[in-house]
Amino acid sequence: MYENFIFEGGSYKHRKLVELVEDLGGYIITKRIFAQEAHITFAAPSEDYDHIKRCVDEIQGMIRKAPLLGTEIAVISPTITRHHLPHPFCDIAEFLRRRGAQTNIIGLARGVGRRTAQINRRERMIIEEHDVAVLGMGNFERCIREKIQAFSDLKIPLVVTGLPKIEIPGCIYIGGCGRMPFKFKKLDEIDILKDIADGVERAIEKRKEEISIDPPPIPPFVVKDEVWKQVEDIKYSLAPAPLVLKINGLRIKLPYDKYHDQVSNVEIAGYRLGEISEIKRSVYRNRILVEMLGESMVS
Amino acid sequence: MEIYAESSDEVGALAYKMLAKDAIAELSLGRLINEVRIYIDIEKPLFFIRIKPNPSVKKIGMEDIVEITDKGDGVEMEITDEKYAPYLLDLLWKKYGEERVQQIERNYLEIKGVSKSDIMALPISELQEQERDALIQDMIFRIIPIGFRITKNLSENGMITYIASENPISEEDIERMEEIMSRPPEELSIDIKDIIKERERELFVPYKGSYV
Repeated sequence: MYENFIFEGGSYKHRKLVELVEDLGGYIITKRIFAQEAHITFAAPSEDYDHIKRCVDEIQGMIRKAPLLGTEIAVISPTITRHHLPHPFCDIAEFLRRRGAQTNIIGLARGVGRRTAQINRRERMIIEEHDVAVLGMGNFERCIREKIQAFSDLKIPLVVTGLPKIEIPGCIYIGGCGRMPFKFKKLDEIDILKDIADGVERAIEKRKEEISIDPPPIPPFVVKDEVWKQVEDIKYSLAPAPLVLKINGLRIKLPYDKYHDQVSNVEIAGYRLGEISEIKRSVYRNRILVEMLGESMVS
Repeated sequence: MEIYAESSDEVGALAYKMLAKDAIAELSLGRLINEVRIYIDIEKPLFFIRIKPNPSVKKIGMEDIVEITDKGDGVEMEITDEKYAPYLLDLLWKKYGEERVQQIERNYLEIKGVSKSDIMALPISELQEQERDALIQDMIFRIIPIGFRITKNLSENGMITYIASENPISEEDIERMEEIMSRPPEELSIDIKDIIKERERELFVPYKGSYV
């Protein structure tokens, strides 16, 4: 069973950890070296945690579990006006990133009001490309209950935040974080962010359970490694994270029209990537989406 | 300065009270405002806000915001307090016409056919009120929910009043709001500590554990 970890420490001798992870059959997901600091995220077999911990202690770094590593999460704000952004959406997104997730903040065009709130087809498609959506709502119970109807038929798990402490069927609701004009600084406020991250974790676990009924023959982080090695131009992509790992796939930040053939011809363990996955065009900027097929679908 | 927010949903009213407090602090308007009253009708929905400005703010005169030198057929004027410049220019253009008042530089004017004493005698207490009202309006539009696109300005008798909704606003709504506002304000029975509750925690938390 693979588990995800984040390593933070000095860059001196970080190769030692990288080599150990590779020897144990793990995968390096991201490796960022800022001057003397190293920030490495990786997946490794959970039974070898003691080995890794010993190595980390030796090079005097810190290691923690990253439950949200390898997920792409949409944080949805009703608009991009100063009434809603930056607080508290940026706090939520920042907190999810600390737990290893990749987040995208999405401002809706017409998400305002109670009767007038709506979500259009393109926004819905962009949101459904993510693994989980975190939706920020307001301060009034009735408004939240009525407004949630517009978002109820999203195909991905939904985590909703709002100020009143209520329960909403069909989604994970976390109270205490409504339309607030300040940054969350106090410990009690940070606890709410922790609650939201825990809610997202629950949603991710549920999604992973669904996938584990018919898992893909090759895990997505292996696919990511191979795409990085075999598609040369991804190294020259100007996007900050050119390859984004999702629970059951990848987002490759290259134009679909030019590169989808090359991506589908990537060879992994005797398969072509096109055979074991569905390669789609992303609604957002024509990028490439790879969605892994279940084992039963692969001949 | 007092802030009152009322609604049948107390949690929401408390949130708007906090929002108003924060908007006032952000624009540093605490000295200019005596009272803020907010009423939110959830059924309609309607948002009503009434602000009582502070009348005792020190009055300014022309000598505080400009420097004037006489020049035979007219005067040269430099606006030293820039925040009043747009309102002052508007006033001078209305009074003397655009041909006689020429803006040489951003804060530098030439006015023909007037003397220094004429200009000094102009009453400018209105400028101060205009500037204050503009700031207060800015604050109001930071508080009103962005979805409430239909707004009506009901300001009169020195009170700044706005009503906003996402649905059309009828005369009856306004009358109902006026009736509610004529009652003395009620204090909220809850506090933010009832919503964001303190939790038990260890006194010592390792650095990394404190933020993840």
